[in-house]
Amino acid sequence: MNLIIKGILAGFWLIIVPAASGVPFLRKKDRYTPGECFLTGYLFLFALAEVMILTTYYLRTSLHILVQCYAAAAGLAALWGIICLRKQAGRLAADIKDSVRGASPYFWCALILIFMQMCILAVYAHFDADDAFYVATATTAVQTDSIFTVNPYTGFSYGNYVPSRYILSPFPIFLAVISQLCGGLHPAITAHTVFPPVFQMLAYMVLYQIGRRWFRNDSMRRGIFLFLAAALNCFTSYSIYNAGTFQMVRIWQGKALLASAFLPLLFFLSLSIVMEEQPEYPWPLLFLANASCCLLSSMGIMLAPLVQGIFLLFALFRFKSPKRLLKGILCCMPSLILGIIYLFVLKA
Amino acid sequence: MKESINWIITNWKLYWGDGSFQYLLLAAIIYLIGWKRKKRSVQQVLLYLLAGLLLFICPLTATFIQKCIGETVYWRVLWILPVTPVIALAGAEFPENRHTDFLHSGLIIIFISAAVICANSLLHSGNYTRTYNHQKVPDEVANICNLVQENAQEGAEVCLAADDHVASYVRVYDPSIIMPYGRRTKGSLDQNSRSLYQAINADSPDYGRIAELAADKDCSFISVAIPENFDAAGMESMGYTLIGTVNQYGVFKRMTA
Repeated sequence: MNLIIKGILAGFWLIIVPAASGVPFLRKKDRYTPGECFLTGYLFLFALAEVMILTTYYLRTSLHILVQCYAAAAGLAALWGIICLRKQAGRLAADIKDSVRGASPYFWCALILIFMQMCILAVYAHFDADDAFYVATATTAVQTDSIFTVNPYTGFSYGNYVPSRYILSPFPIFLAVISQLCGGLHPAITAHTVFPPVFQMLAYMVLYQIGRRWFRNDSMRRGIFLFLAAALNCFTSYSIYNAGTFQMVRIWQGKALLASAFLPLLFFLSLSIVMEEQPEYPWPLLFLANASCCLLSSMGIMLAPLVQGIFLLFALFRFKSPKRLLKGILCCMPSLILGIIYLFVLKA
Repeated sequence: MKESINWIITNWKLYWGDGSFQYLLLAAIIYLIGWKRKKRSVQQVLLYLLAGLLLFICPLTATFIQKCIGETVYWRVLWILPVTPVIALAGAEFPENRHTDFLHSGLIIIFISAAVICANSLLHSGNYTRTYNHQKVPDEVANICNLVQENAQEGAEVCLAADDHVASYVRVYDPSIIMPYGRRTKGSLDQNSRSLYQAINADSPDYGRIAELAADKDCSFISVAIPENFDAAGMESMGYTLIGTVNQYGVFKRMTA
């Protein structure tokens, strides 16, 4: 299939579908932005992918069945989102127009810088030997039409061995699914050329939402905030361990996306839901965010409840509400369940 | 306890490397505490930072977390700290709203220049390179894989033994090629595979030994760095013939296979 058609398919599955499938979760909100829809959509789709991949792995189903199931579910969610959006489309378009008009020049400067970063990531290559597992798992899954049954390092069957650290966080399989949905685009091309600009945009949308929360009625400071965040990220190569480096050089890997976008998103959601008397977003989003972190990396299974736990403790002191605490703990369930499975079943 | 504290300090140093972001963060925190502490949003983020740092520093929580995520990656706990947002928050809080048009225009020019400088700095950070293959693996790996596939028997399974650099990307580029071991011997089936890995990655490779071990693992191809005055006798004794070179790598095919 022509590369351009594959590119269009990538845009459909990685931008349109997430943006549309996020709408139903926000429809009870008075006003919501396309950015919020996009981020919410990713929370839903990643949580969906986590459930579907784990189910198909345990049922020993082939990759193409998973691809069909994911496409059907994500497609239906997007369709539902478009139906929900129909009544709000005019209002949303007017809001976008107002936001563009009201954006400060600093915001446009930030956009220029972010766009340059996205171009660099899409055009240039960064070699990371961790791809030997992460991307090779996806190429192997596509090649063998299977999920975690063949060792990506060698191409030989895993046999009875279970890659326990990775199966609970099957982001490489999500990569395989998306590459198949993009007309059979090579998973390495999807990972190294398609994912980076999309996920870079996602990471900055999270930062923008944080800025919007901190500077609600001050577009100038919001613009400066976003610009400074983007500028700081250009100078993070002082060590290979910090979140900024992971964002700027290998954002296609689940752990990098976790560090650069989903932990900050969890931080933002915790501030907006757990720490607010009247939550700005529905509680289930926190549950989806936790499940998304689990999909991305085994680190997410541990770090997500740490972030949520800190805010739950703050909220307990502030609101003295056991109900809120219980809701928060329920939102950590994906991490808690997978953590227990890992520590006491797979590791044992 | 002392060991645990040393380990925490080591991870702290690893995370920040030789940069100055930790000082920027400290300056941002001092500024926010000093001048903006009455804002609720600032109070929340500062409290969260403090709690996150305590979790990282406290030997008790550190020991527990290390047991769950593994000792070697303990520095990843610092990912929960919103370092960039906090520094950017302090930076955005800093300027006053009283701008003249002249100052405003000047600032915008400075911001646009800064954007170009930042992008340029990023591009020249040494992290990025151009490749001539769409998969964006090192070009020599792509060329080795292409050479191997061009010379492979139709329908036959292709097994390639290569050094660690090449082995890390072969199956990223072409998953139809199987290997006796992966990156850092991961996935190797037995001791012979590990011995082959060590032989092929040795500073001065014994080509005869490499060929012998590769033949034992039924490798139809070998890719190994060869010197200019390479003597092929060792390889040929086991049926491996040089079919081409890619940069410093010689690619050998087992003719009897």
